[in-house]
Amino acid sequence: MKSPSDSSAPGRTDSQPPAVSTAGRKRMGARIRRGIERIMAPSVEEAERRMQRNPGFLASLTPEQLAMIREYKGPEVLGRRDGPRRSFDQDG
Amino acid sequence: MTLSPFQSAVARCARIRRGAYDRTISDALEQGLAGPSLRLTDIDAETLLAWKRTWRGTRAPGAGGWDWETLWKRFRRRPTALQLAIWDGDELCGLALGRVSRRRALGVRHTVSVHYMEASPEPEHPLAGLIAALVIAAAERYGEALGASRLRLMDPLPGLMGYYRKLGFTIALLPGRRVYFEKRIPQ
Repeated sequence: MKSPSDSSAPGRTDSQPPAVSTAGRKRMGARIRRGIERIMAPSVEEAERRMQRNPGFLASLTPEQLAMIREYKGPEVLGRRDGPRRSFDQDG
Repeated sequence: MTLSPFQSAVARCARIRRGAYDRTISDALEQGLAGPSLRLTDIDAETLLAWKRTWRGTRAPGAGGWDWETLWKRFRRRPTALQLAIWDGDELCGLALGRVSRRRALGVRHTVSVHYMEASPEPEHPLAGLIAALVIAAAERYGEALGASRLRLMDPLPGLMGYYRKLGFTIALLPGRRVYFEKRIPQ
């Protein structure tokens, strides 16, 4: 017995998309939203909990490391040597 | 108003970064590294205006002088991008951009990578010497929040290897002779 949504059912052609009910569309929408949630960041509350578990980089430094940071006066730069560089001509 | 999934991700990641920045400010104050005028924000139009107006010093090739507007537009396409501006009051003192690796099957984001960082070219700016430490601290806090287990500093200046080692980083190489420093983020 063929179901009404079967594309091989009499009276249907392959060019006709299978009928999707409103409830089906809602379920599909919910599945897509859940999928996006999975690839997104955690909730703000979960993020806060994770940060509370650790003292953080600065609080973990030894007195010697803190002194080194306070006394540091060298360059503070990261980046690819071929990274886009500012052109003052474009600034006007 | 209903946000699109992308807009929703952008808003949520911005709130998580805000939390990470606030904790970093608290950490810096507790350690006596900065005063109450320290501000950490996302890079935005106001930041780029301040960058254009106040960072007028030139740099040697390979030592900064980045086009931050171009870089920001490139990085901000991903909601999770680290886009950090470091201020002392209204004075822009540092900028950084980074990425977070995509989620793995177990829902874990592996790595936060800081790709670009630069301090103000003004040699006597109020946070001189502290920018790298603040960027590391904020990036690590953000990584904690997202569940990342590693922090990477990409393409460091060769002269700073000893400095980063003393801060707990180990050196590593990528194909193409790219160098980065890495440290574990406590879980």
